[in-house]
Amino acid sequence: MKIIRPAGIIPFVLIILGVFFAAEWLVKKTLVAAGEAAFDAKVTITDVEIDFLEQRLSIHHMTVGDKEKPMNNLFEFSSATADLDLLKAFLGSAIVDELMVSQLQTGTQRTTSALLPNRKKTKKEKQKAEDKEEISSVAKAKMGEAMPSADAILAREQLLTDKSLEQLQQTLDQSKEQWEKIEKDLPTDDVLAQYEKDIEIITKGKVKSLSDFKEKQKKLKQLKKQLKADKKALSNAKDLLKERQPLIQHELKLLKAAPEQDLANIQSKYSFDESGLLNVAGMLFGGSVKNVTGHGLYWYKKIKPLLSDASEEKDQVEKQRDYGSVVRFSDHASPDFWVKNAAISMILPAGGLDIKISDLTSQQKLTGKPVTASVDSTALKGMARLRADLMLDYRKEPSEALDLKIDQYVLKETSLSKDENFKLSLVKANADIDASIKRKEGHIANNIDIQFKGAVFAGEAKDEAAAELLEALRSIGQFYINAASSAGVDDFKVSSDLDDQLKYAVKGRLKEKQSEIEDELRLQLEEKVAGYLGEADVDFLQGEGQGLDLNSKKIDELLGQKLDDYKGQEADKAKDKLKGKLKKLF
Amino acid sequence: MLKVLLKALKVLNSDVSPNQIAAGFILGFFLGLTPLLSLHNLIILFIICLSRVNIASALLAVLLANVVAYILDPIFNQTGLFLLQHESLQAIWHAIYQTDVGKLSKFNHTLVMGSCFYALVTSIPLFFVAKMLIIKYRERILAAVEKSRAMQMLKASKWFQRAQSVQSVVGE
Repeated sequence: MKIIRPAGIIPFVLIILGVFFAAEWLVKKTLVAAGEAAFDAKVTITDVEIDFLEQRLSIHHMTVGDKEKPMNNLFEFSSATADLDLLKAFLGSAIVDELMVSQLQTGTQRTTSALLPNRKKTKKEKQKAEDKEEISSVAKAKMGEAMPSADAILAREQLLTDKSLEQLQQTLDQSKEQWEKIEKDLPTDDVLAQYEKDIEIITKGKVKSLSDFKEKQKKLKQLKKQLKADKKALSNAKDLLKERQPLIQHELKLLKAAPEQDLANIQSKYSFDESGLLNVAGMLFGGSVKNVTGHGLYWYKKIKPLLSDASEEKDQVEKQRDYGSVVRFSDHASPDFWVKNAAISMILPAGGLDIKISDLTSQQKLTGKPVTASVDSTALKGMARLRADLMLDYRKEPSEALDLKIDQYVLKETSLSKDENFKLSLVKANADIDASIKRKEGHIANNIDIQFKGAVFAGEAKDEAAAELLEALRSIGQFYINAASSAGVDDFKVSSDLDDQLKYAVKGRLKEKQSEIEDELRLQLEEKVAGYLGEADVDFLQGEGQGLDLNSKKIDELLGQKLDDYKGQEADKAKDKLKGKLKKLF
Repeated sequence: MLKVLLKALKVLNSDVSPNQIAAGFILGFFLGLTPLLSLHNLIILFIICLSRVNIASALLAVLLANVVAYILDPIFNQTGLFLLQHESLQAIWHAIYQTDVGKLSKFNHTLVMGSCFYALVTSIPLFFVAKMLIIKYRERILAAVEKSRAMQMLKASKWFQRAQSVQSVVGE
C-alpha cells in the first residue's frame, strides 16, 4: 500500500505560490491599515516589494496624512528599505537590521483630504486648542516704567508728602474745633476790665452798715466764683495749647521733610542706578526662548510615549477574542519592534538633512541599549552647519540628553517687542547656537547659549526713555544670550551681556535724565508743601498762649482782692472819732 | 453536511482500508477539536493531503469534532490554563516561547493548549475504536444490508444497474 499521495502536495504548492505572489499586496494592505489606525488619517503607498532571498522590504512613496491639517501630510518619503527578519515579522515582531528612508518630508501639500471617511471631528479638535504658548512680549509700559516722567510718577505713586499733608490738616481741624469750643468760655479783656471795676467798687467803697457790708461780701463772693470759672477755662485752654502745639509742630516738621523722603523712595523704586534697566535681555528674548523650547516640548511629548517601555504593563494572562486567554511568558529573545540602524535623508525647506538612528525601540530593557540619534548637515540654507545628538535611555532611570549646535544661523527679522510705546525687532544677525538639554534621575539641566554677530536692531519708540534705549540698541552689533533652566521650559532664566552693553551706552544719558527728573520731582513736591502751608493756618494757636497767661495773672490778682473786716472798720471809725474829740479837749 | 455524510457512508461501504479511514478520522478529529488557525493544524492538513488517509472521513471528523469542541471549550480552556500556569512546566514553556516556532504555534493560548492536550490523549484510543467500529460495521451491518430484500431489489433494478455502469465509466 502506498502511503504518500503525491497529488496532495498540489494545494500547498498553490498556497505557497499564492502567498508568494500576494505577499506584497498583503503587506501593502497591512501597512496602510496599520498606518491609518496609528495616525487616524489616510495613508497611501504606491508600491511594496518583498525580496524573500535578501529578506528585504521596500516601500515606494508612502504618504501619511495629518488629521489636524487634512490638506497636509504629516510626513511622506519617496522610498524606504528595510532589511528585516521575515519570520519574526510573520510572528508580529518587527526587527529591522537596516532601515533606509529617502527624501523624508513633513508638512507637504495634499491634493485630497487626509481625513478618513466617516470620521467625525471630536469636540477637542473643533476647539482647535493651540498648543503653543503665547510669546510674552515686553510688558506694557515696562520701558516707560524704567524711565517715567515726573508727572507720571507723582500721579502714580502714593506720596508721603500727601499723607503728611492730610495728617497735618486733620490735626489742625481737630485743634481748631476744640479751641473754638474752649474759646467761648474764655474771658475777654472787656470782661476782665469789668471784673476789675466791680471789685474796686466793692472793695474801695464805703461800708454804710452791716447789711451793706454783707451785701458787698456777697457780691464779691459771686464775682470771685465767676473769676474762678474763668480761670478754669483759661487753664483748660492752656492745656489744649500744651497738647496741640507740639503735635502740630511735629507734623509740620514731618511735612517739610516729606518731599525728600518721597524722592528717596522713588529713586530706590525706579532704580535709576545701573542695575535698574530691568534685565532688558530677559524682557526682549525671554518670550522667544520660551516659544522655541515650547515647540521642543510639544514634540517631546508626542514622541516620548512611543519610546517609553510598555512591555511590563501587559497582564500575564490576557483575555482574547471570544474564548481562551493568552498566557504571557517573558521574552528574552527580542522586542516587538526594533530598528537596529536607520539612515534617513530628510528634505526641509532649507535643504537636506541626514539623520542616523540606532536601536530605535520602546523595549530598551530587551535590547539593552539606549536609543541614539544624530543629525548632521552642511547643506542647509541659512546656516553653515547643524549638528544634533540625541540619547534616550529608559533601561533603568529615565535619562534623556539632547545636544544641538548650529553654526552661523542667519536670523531673519524677528519681532522682540510689540509694545505700543516700544516696537523693536532684530532685523538681522548671525547666530551660533549651542543648546544642551539633559534630564536624568529627575534632575533637569537645560542650557542654551546663543552668540549673535552682526546684529541690527530697528524699531519705533514713542517716549523719550524708549528712544534712548533704541538708540543704545542700534549701536550694539554683537552680544550673547544664555537661557538656563533647572526645571521646565517655563522656568528659563535669560541672561545676557546685552544688559551690560546697554548700561554702558545708556549710562551717561540715563544719569542726565535721572537728575532732571529728580529736580522736577523735588520742585513739584516742595511747591506742593509750600502751597499748602501758605493757605493753612498752622500758627493759629501761636499767639494765644501769651494772652492766656496775662489774663490768668490778672484773674489771680483779682481773686486776691478782699473786703476789710466790718468790725475793724467800725473800730477804726470809733478810734478816729475819739482821736478827734481828744484833740478838741487838749 | 449531508454530502459529507453520504460520502463517508460510501467510504464505509467501499473497499478502503479501515486503517486509512480511521487515520483520516483521527487527523480530522484533531483538526476540528483545536482552533483552526494554528500551526499544528497546518501540519495536520499537510499530512491529510500528502498521505493516503481518507479525506472524507477526515472531513466528517472535523464536523463532529467542531460540535464536540463547541460543547467542551470551557473544559479545554480551564485545562489549558492549568497546564500553562503549572509550576513544574514553566521551564519548558519558557524554553519553547523563546523559539520562533514556539511563538508561531500559539501554544500559550489556553484553548490551543487544552484542546491539543485532549486531542493527543484521545487520538490513539480513538483510532483503535474507529477502526474496530468500521470493521464491525462492515462485518455485520453492511453484510446484513447486502443480504436484505430491499437491497436485493435495488440491485436488481434497471436504475441501479444503469447508475453502476455510469459510475464505472466516469470513475469515483
